[in-house]
Amino acid sequence: MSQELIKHGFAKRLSASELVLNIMDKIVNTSINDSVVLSKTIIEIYEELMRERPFSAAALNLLKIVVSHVLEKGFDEVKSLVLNLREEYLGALTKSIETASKRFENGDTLMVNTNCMSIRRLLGLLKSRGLKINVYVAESRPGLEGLSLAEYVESLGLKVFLIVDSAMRFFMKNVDKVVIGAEAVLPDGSIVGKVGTSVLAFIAKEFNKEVISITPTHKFYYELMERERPKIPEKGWEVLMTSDIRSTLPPSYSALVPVYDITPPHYIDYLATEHGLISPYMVQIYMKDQYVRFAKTPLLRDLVTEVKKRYST
Amino acid sequence: MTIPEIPQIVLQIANDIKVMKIRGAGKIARSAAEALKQASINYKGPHELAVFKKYMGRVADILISTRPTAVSLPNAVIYVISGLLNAGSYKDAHEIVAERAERFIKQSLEAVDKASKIGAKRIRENSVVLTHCHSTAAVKTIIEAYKLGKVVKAYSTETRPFYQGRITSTQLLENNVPVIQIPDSAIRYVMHEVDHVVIGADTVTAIGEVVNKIGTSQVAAVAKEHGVPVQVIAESYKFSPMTLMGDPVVIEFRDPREIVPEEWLNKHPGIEVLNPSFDITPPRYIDAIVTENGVIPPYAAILVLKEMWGWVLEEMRRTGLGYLRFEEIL
Repeated sequence: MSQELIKHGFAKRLSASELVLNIMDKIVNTSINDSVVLSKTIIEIYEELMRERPFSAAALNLLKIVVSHVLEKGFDEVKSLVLNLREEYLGALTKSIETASKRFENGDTLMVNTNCMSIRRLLGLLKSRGLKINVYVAESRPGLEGLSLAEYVESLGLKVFLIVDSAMRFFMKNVDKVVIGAEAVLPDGSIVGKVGTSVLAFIAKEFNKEVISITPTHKFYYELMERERPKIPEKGWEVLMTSDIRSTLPPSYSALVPVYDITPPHYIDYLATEHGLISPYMVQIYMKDQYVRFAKTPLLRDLVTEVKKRYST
Repeated sequence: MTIPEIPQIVLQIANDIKVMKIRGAGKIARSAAEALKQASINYKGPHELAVFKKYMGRVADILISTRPTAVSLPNAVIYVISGLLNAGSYKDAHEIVAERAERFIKQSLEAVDKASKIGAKRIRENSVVLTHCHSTAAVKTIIEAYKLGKVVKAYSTETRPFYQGRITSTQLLENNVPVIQIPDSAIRYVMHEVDHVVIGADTVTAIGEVVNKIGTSQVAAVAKEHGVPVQVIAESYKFSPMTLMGDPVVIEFRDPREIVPEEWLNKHPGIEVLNPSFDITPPRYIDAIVTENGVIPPYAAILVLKEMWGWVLEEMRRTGLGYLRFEEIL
């Protein structure tokens, strides 16, 4: 990427789904037979997630299944379990996207602000069905991931407009539907997404536009039914500019850059899941369904502590 | 009639306004007044009233054309040039231009001070304020309020594509105001902490809409969502007489290279980068507009217009035009 873009804080970031796949691959590629190495990998993954992506519900939910398996059955069959979970997640994602795709019509204009896998695949699917879709992409600071999404939409041959985050309201009148990315769905039906997502959803509602999100139920943050919500990670000036530019500003200059923000359920029309479309207010139905699998105590953090105790040398 | 050549210094100022070397509604207005003064001082044509008026009319039209959306610009020009309507002789006219230009510059500087003092009084004790972009008037208001012990913290948005928020942060820090920069996308994340949004304006329309830097309307909408008052500090020369006759405020779309590097644009010809520089905040999202003459609800903008630009409104009604062509009027 060009120096010029790096000056503006351009940085690659894994989407929630990419993160899941990345983690699964990391576990599979670790020496599966060495319990010390494998447990170390799992602990590292967990600690990094809690530090950098504490809302990556899909990754944490699936990791919890892996960790529970390790504690109950040891390291045998971890590899096949992980490969199955990977398939399961991709299957759920595909189904969710299929379901969402039926809601779009030829000529629809969308607005999006994140380079997430589900949105990319949705657009690819719509294109493959011959629909003409126009897409407004907000550049999405920090990180400017909107540029990567715009590049992808261009490669699909769909009409794409790139705008600054501040121009979302300016162009909302031209938009039919807004698709927001989700890092996690919380028990009250709110969505944790890339910072700016809640602005996009709110403005869409102000203009009475439909707001949807593609959220396989793996993205539901089950554990938050019984534990405190993590703090949203906040970064500083270093994700907005290079140190050269920083040096032109006063020494006491400081910046606050939240990684996520929270979109309340009243700004979201529906979630597309592998079980179909649901209202965000109905998230609890699936949370209860899957409770035993994902949420049942002990909490993931306690399980990881146990792994540490048992396997660390 | 041949119109004498326009001096280089005048064209230079016009160009600086056009390429945004001179920016901010107030600075643009004062520079335009200065350009008119320089045009008068450096006038090389015959000492005839008619020729001089046509010449000044042309300078006025050139200046106005540099930034289609900055209303402070035509208003500054109208203020200075209106003096020529009753000029009796070349000598009179020559003096009137310089005198009115200086008066405009002085009053405009005072207007910012007066408006910001009034605005500061409206901020409550222990407030967290938020501002968007860089507005001299908004920054002064926050500094005034800080000096009164009312501001505990300020948030300033980066303001893409040009990062004018960095200027805001720098100026607030120079005045010891604790300020934190946030990306434009984070406004809703911090709004629950904010007690007052203070912004400037590029233009105020006859029905109280505020035209200002792109993103302002988003900030105001989110503020309203949170029940946070939005105060606009706008000197009265920012109220647009043209909008009374229904003329929409033209929103300038600027060069996409302000958003992404040219290299990236060339690589992606299928991506259309749209760069509107302003947006329009409806009056329902604004609690008060503060001018040098006091506080008004946005809906009362027409009163400011009538007081300031009565004769301009009459001239527009007469011609049916939403703008003035000085070369023809004079």
